[in-house]
Amino acid sequence: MIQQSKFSSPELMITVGVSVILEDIIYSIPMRPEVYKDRNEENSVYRFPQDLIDYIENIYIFKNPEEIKMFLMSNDDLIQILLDAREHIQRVFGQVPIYLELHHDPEEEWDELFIVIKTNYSPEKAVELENKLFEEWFIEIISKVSGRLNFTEEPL
Amino acid sequence: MMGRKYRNPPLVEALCEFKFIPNQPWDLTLPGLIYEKVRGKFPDKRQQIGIGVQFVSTEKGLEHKVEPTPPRVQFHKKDKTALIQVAPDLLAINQLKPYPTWNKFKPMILEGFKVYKEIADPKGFRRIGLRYINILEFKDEKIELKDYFQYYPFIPDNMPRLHGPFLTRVEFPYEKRNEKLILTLSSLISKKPDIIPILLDLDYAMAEPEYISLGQISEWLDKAHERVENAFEACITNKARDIFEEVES
Repeated sequence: MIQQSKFSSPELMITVGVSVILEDIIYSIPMRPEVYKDRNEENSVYRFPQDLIDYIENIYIFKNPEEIKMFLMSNDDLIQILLDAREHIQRVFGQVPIYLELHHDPEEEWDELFIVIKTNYSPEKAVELENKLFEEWFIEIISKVSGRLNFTEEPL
Repeated sequence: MMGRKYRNPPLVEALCEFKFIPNQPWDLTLPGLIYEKVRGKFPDKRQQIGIGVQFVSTEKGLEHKVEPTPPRVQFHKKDKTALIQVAPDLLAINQLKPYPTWNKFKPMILEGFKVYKEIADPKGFRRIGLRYINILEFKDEKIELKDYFQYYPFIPDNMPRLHGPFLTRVEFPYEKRNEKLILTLSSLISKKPDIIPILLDLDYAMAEPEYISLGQISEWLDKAHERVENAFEACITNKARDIFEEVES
């Protein structure tokens, strides 16, 4: 029986290739499935956004993964922006951990995705870099993301 | 989906993917030349970023690895129901909803293939895949997979009855291992809360490079389609057929 996913992450998915117990099936050689050698691009238009979201999960640390993924599936224009964002953030802040957090206001039916940049900088320096990132990147996309995406800096 | 007809089929996308062995290095002008031939039916041109998904063997087992790949060009129909994708040594023909029957999808595949072959002049096939992607959406809080599928993960008795996200994938060899049917049943990221989307992905592939020649594609497609169709019907239960609403033909 499968239930709706609330807290679990696909990271917890049954490992591919060893998860399935099939009765009365002859599986001649216990080898790695061949498919992974020749299926290395996703050509399905339907599946492609799901793969990109998986990729984004490698770049950012998702605070509430299931909700963020669902939000991105419904706001798939943000996927490309998030893919590009890392380069801009790293250019300004360096190699720092970057989180994604989805903030809700149930009364207003409002959801906003926050890029949270964790750093060890002094408050003054952090504000300076935040302003720099705003001027160099966020100002270019602010009209497109229209209250659905924002960023902030927080101490580590 | 196919042989039997359904009023509400779960099919969201059918696609045919060709990977080619080239005769010469990829020329960046080729997508433009292909576009000139198909723009009558596929006028809307787009470029998609490339992300390649791979499973690589590491000390910790199989790991999911995603890498950038060369961008691909897409040519969409005006009504967005179908598209042709072109990338270096790759051609994909995708049919989205509504699926117009095999008798119409197959000629679209062959037309796209003919144009690619004329312009890119490939040496042969590295891989061909005919793939049908079905999504079943359940509004229930929990469902019993075996009520709807004949193919599902077997959960041993001493494990909890309730589980979350899952992925099962099995390859069935055909034609002395030169071809295979790849069957995937998995949960998916939902677009809406309170919905359980389940993916049933059937991919029949020629995996041995040049197992068939370029001239044999039409017969191969019919065989692949028949095997996918049989697998689909084998994987679902009558309760699922009730949801799809079978139509008497």
